[in-house]
Amino acid sequence: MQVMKPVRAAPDSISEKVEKSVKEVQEACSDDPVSGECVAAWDEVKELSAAASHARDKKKDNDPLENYCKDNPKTDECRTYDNGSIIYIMTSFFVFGDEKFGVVLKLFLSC
Amino acid sequence: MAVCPVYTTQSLNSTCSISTPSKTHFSSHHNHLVFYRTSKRTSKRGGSSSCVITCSAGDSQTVVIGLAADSGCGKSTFMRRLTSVFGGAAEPPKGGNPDSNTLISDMTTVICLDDYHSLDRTGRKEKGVTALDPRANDFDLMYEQVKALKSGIAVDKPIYNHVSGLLDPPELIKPPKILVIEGLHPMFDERVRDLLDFSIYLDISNEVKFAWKIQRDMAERGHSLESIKASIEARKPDFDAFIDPQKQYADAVIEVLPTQLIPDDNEGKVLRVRLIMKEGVEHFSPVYLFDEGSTISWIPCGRKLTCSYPGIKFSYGPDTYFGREVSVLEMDGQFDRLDELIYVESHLSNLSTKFYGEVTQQMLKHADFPGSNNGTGLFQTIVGLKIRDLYEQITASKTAAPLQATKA
Repeated sequence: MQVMKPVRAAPDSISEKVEKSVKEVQEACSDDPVSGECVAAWDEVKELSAAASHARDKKKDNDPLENYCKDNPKTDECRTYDNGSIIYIMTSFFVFGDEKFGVVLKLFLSC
Repeated sequence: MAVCPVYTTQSLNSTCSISTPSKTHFSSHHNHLVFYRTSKRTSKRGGSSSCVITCSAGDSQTVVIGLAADSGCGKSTFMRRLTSVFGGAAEPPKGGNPDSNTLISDMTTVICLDDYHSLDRTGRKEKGVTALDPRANDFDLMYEQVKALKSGIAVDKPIYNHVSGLLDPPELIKPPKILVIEGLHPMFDERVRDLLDFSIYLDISNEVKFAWKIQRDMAERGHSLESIKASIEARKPDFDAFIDPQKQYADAVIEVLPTQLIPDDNEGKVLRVRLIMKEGVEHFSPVYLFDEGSTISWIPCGRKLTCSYPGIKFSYGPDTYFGREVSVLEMDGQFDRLDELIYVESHLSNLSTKFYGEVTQQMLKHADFPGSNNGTGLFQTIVGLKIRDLYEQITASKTAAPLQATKA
């Protein structure tokens, strides 16, 4: 069963908002550059620029696999094994005394 | 860790009634242990005594830290470094509003004070006020909720959505071990100020702010050099009137200024950072260089350490800041190599590290964060360690106090 999650606003719409807010400033500040409206308009530009840059940073560190595994650690793609279990699996190969498997064991022990 | 205040009652007859105090708030962490003991010898005190021990985990253990910063909530580098000192990554609450500003890790919860805006973006536009103006913020709600969280009661905190500019439905915040309130006005309201166990003010000078904003915002459509400059200038009156005065109340101020090592530098890459630490703050001992209380100027680069241009320059000394005694540790320049960092760390004292090289290790852990090669990263990491030390001292003193009561 799929869980529906709310979706974040796409960064493009934030960029459009920033552009729009800068345009709005021209209108608000054309009458009086020190009025409350003008200052509030510039504050909005600042807030939206900050939101846009955060959205850009978030997009940059979004690794889809990492995000999926954070919420679903038990699925096949996301299982991790600690060194103990690897050694257990590999020693069963080593018992056969083949040099090749000894090398494989060494490789797994080093990770 | 549980705090157990011990109540003793004495009654004249041999049977005792045990009553639970009705004024305490019950949270899911409360456990009541009733210890009943009657003494057969009715001596001078004349009667049996019974003890009711109330154990409540998390009750009044929440340490509250205030961080005044203009950079936006919870996602700032300072927050990430701070939460990393305690271990674990801080993430937004799972399954909740994706535009939530709150960050939660094992030990800490970071709350963005923008969530206490009383006016949303349209409301502010109508009234012609900026977010910096106290009229746009609900300080009563801020005080009530921080007080509740500090006493171990969960709250429903509103969410200010920075993308839509609207106030979203509230989210549940459970009281953490360390609560960090980050935003523009943590020290503005006196009642909230009194709740803070430690407060920090991040003071970025205008030149550095401008240089950083250019790097950040020029990539965005619609912005030009003039618009960035104008946006900083337009906010300046409100900023100076409402935000800047909070500096005087902070226990630690991190001041970021342009470097003095490169003449006419306006790139904002090499920075001069000053850590201004108030003297006489409980559970906080300022960091010092070589000799506490004296004035030192130190250039570590020389025979033992080779640095590349522009090098590193440190200074330390006592000073007064808004009429209060402070110690100022200053770093100008940047680190290029690991051994510069460890060399500097080995000469600083009172760092509250648990082992030699901890500051360097923390800096390396986040080498990709901005400021990792200069004083901003260094001092933010040091403040993080100081906060950890403060938390441990407060926790230790709170558990020690009730133990003394049982002996009495």
